[in-house]
Amino acid sequence: MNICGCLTHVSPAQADAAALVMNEIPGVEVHAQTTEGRFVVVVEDTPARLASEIIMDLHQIPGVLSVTLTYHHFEDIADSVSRPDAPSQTTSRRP
Amino acid sequence: MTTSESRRTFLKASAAAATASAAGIPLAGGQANAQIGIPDISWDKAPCRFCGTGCTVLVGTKNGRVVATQGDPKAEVNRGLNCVKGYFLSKIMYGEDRLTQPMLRMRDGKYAKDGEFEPISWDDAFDIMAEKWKETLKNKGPEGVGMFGSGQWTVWEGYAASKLMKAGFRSNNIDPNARHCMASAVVGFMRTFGIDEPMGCYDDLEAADTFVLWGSNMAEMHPILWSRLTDTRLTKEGSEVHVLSTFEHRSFELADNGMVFNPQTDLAILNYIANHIIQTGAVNEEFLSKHVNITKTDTDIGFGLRDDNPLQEAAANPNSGKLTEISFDEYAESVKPYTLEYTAELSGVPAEKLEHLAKQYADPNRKVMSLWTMGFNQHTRGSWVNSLMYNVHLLTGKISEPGNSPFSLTGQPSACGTAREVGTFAHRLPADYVVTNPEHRAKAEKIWKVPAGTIPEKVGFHAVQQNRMLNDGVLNAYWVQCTNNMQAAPNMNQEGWPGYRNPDNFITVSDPYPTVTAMSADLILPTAMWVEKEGCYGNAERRTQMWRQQVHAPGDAKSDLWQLMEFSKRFTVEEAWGEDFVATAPEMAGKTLYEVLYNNGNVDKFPLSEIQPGHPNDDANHFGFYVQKGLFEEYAEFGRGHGHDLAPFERYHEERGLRWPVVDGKETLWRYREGSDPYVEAGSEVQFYGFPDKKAKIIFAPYEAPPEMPDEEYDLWFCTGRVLEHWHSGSMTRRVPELHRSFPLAVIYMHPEDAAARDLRHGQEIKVSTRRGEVTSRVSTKGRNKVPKGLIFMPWFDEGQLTNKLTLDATCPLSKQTDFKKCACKVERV
Repeated sequence: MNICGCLTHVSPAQADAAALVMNEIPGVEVHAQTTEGRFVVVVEDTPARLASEIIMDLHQIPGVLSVTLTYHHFEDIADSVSRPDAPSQTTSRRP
Repeated sequence: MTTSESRRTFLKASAAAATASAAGIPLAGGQANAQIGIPDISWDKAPCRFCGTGCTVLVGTKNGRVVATQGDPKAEVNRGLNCVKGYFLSKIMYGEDRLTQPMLRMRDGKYAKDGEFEPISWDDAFDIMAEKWKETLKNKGPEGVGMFGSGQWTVWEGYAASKLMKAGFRSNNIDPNARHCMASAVVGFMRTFGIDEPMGCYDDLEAADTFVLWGSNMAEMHPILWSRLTDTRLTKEGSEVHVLSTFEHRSFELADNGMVFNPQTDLAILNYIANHIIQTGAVNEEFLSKHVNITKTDTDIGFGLRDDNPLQEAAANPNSGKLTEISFDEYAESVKPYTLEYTAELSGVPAEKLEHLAKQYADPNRKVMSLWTMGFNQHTRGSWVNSLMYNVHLLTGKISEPGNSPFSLTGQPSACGTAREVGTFAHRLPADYVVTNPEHRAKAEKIWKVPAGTIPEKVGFHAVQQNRMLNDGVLNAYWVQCTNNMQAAPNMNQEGWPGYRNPDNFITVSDPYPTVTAMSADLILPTAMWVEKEGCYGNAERRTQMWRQQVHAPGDAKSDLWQLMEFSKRFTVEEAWGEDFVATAPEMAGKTLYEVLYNNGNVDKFPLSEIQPGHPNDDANHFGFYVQKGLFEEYAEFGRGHGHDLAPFERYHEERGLRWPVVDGKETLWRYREGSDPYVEAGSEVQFYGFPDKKAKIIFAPYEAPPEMPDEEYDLWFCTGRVLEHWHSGSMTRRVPELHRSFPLAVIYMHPEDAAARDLRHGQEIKVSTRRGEVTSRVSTKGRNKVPKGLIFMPWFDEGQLTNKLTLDATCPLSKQTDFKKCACKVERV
């Protein structure tokens, strides 16, 4: 199971058209869009396609200039057991 | 909502929040202000394992396995972003065919060159390897042993390897794969500035008005830097992007001025720009007279082929890099033939596009950042073309200040930090010192505490020469670490493969996976990778960055560092140096190389108690001291006070990297500029202090044709390169199922008319051949790369289609870097 958060740059003139195309793609959710053409997009695996393939497809949408990821999660949910009390083994500054 | 559904929704919200936060975009509900922490995952930072950009990722581990990655919002390089390769990078450690024990070619229980791989113990592996190395040292001396390393080695691995070869085996036959990658950039820096690596930094990506890509497809190869450049282009009024290449690629989508030029004519275009600057009176005369010397280089220098190659024999000044001082007027005369009309005709680029480009450089009110990678460096005139680029920036004084920046990008995470700065090349020592200089050798021998005269003066075999010498049976005991050179090196059919399989040779390959190179070896050693060890890399903007070990390596896999140091225990100085040399340093008698090189009071100086609690450090625990810190601090002695200052070791574990020179705790963003670079004296404005007179050099070089061009039989240009989904030879990215599925097999990009003329349709199977070999592939006339008529492009990641059966081992005669971008081929229907 893959879940990816992507920052996408789109040519402002084509931004609205690109947003329509993206929202039609299964596994893609546009969470935010700015006037300069920056999109917050979340991509997840679908039964037909992996998130990575969907991301590569995003590159082909007219007006899309770049797609970068900021977050990727790939644990198998079915097997995962939440262990909130496990001690941190790192010096992470994150909670 | 079930547990897994709610977890999924939660993770999706986390993904959106992390993205929005990194980009400073508000989300409905205010999620972006507080990133959501996932409680059961431990996070720590690490630089990405792939290209030379040097992004930092936060690596999430759970139950001893890496399960998540996130762009690090605190990282100055990537500001919370990462590219598609970067995001799947944690999966590179978990490929199904990961090597976990040494494997030796054997028959009837014994080593046999023609045997089959069978698992053995580390002890047995080092026994047979040491036996072969000792036999070679006895029969051939230090010239018979060699090592091929990597810009993916950590700083201390490269340092330990260089020391083992140069002081341990007293052989300079060590070279990195960075030779294939940026050796021409290095020679350009050394000839123009007398000191390696860019003067500017990534901050120029926000400060420039015009960006010019010279032989670089940043959109696919450096996506994070590309997203920063894109941001500037979309938000800064009047900014422009110019893209030059021999075919149209994805970076052209953002181009205001896209230019497809005939291969090799970049030499002429750069001289045209210099001519334009002179003819329009745009020379910055004050800058030029104060800070620049003008020279020309010897011409007709051959193509770095074997000495008995007819092309090499025909050259007037083979391999000559001699520079002659000339006057400004002589220089102006030299570039005068490169008129707009002549250059447009030669390059095939419309005149108005060339002129538009030249005006960017000439206009004193525009800040220009030039960016390049393999298009410049993999070039039989690569050293020349790098210097021609600097000529343009020096003529106008557009250098060493925010936004005015000639910038050489790199392709590996530590091509700069390890290969270049540590000096793992056949001619180099740390911090720009070289083996040919007696004072530099003496300095290294003193820091290393080895006898005077230990380091040989003779330059060792460079990458391409190593394969030739294996083939000729001159080099017999050979160790490859952290690189897939059978797939990567040119002319595999005629040099690489016969070299490895020569019965006189014993080849060891250390790798996490059974790559083409590993399968061509006699002994395979399984390697720990990335966050399975503590490491340090240096990126393209002089940024040194470290990470801690976060998980353990599988099975018996060991780091390259462990392997190098353990192997050194197998040799006494008598065996490695010979009795005669040991007699000159009797205090060393009877010691092992391990004792001399690593148990020397420097490397073993720091106790285990200094390791960060809570982190594993398998290497340090094995040797009984903080080996990474000891190696780093000994190495840093070379550069401190010498323009390459590094901060104390611990500082790098706290920071997201620092750009050297780091003086009085402060990093340097723009070198050579007063106020920014502590080495520049007050009142001098600019000092190019790599040379004693503190001046840089303009180096004139003309257009010269490449060694092999299309003719009647081989009628197409053959150009090789990369795609976004895969990194170099694909040994890691092809093992990530997501990346493999998105670009499983290489294809040949061809112009539709060229395809039609050969009766080929998109997707059809084809045979590509050159004078050296043939490969079967499929033709693509659609898709992301649009090649011009007369040229085909092939990515080389696919080990099922070995691109380097086709390439020519012609190199830049000065840098010895192969030209993987141009030779002649033909395409036929299968």
